[in-house]
Amino acid sequence: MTRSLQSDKPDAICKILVVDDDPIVLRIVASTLEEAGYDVVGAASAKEAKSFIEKNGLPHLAIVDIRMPGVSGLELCRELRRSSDVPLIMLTSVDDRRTVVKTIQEFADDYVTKPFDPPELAARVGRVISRRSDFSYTFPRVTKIDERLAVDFSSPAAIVDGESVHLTPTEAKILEILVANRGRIVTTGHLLRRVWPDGDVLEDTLRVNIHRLRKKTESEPSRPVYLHTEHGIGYAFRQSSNA
Amino acid sequence: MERHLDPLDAETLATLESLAESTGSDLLHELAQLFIESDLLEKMRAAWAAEGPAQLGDLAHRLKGSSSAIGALRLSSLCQRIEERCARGDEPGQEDLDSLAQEYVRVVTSLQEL
Repeated sequence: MTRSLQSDKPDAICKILVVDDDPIVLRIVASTLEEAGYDVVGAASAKEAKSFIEKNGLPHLAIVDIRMPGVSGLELCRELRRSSDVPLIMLTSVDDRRTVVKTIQEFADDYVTKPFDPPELAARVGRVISRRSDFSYTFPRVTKIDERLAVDFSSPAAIVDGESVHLTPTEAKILEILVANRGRIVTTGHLLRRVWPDGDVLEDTLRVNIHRLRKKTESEPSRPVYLHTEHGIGYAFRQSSNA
Repeated sequence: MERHLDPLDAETLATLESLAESTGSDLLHELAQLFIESDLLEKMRAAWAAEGPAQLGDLAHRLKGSSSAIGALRLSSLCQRIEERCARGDEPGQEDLDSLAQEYVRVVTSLQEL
C-alpha cells in the first residue's frame, strides 16, 4: 500500500531515527514526522545514533545530516549500509552535485537539501518506506532462529550452539535478507541488487558468500538445513524442524 | 516594512505555524528559544578571534542550517559566504562579520516578537 503523507498515516508505527547536530532541525523534523504518524528518535551525532542502534536495534528508516562534528553523516551511513539494509535519507545543506550523485549511487535512498519543506520531507519518507515490503532490518538485536541458531545482527555474529561465530558485514546482510524472507525464495538478482547496489558484482561472489555462511551456520554445509540453493532461481532460508 | 526586507521568510513561517497548529504545540516559540539560546554569533566571534577558519567555517555552516530552517534566508546566505571563504582557507573580513551580526540581531528581534 502506498502511503502519502498528507492524508494517510502509516499502518503500523514506523520508527525514524533523525541524526543532526542542529536542535532546530531536529525539532522541525520530529514535529513533521510525528504529525505524519511516525515515531521519531533524535540523535545529535553519529556516536549517539550508533549507541541508540546498539541498544534498540535498527530503525525503519534513518534521516542523516552529512556535516556533523566528529564522525560525519557519510561515514555513519557507509557503516550502516555495510551491515544492514536500513533505508537512508540524507538531509543536508551540502548540495554540490558530485556529493549528491555519489551519495545516491553509493547508499542513499533519497537526498533532501536544506532549507527543506517539511511536508515534502514527510512525503519522501512515506515514499521510501512504502517501497519496502518488509522491515526485517528492524529485527531485535539477537534474532533466534531455532534452538541451535541465533543471529546477532548488530555484532554481526551467528550464535551456533551458544558459540559466537563472526560474520562479515556482507554475510550479515545476505543472511538478514534471507531470514526476513524465510520460507520464500529470494532470487539471485534481488540479492545482488540489495547487497551490492553499485553493481559490478558477479554471481560467483554471492555464491562464495553463501558457501561461507553455510560453513559458519550449518552442521553439515554440504547438506544444508537453513540455506538452500534453488537452482536457476536463487536462495531460500528454511528453518529446521526444531524451531 | 516591506515583505522582502523582513528577516524571516513569510512562507517558511506559515509552514511552521501550520505545523504548530496541527501538532497543537508552541513550535515557533520553541524554535525561537533554541535559536537564541544557541548563541552562535558569539561563538563565531570567539572562533574568529581565536580559532581560525576551520572552526569558524563549522559554526557558519551550523548557523546557515538553523537560520534557513526558521526562514532567516538572508542570514543563511551571509553564513554561506563566510563558510565558503573559510573552506578556501581565507579569513572572512570584518565587513562580512559585521553584516552577519547586523542581520543576526534583526532575526533575533523578529523571533522575540513572534
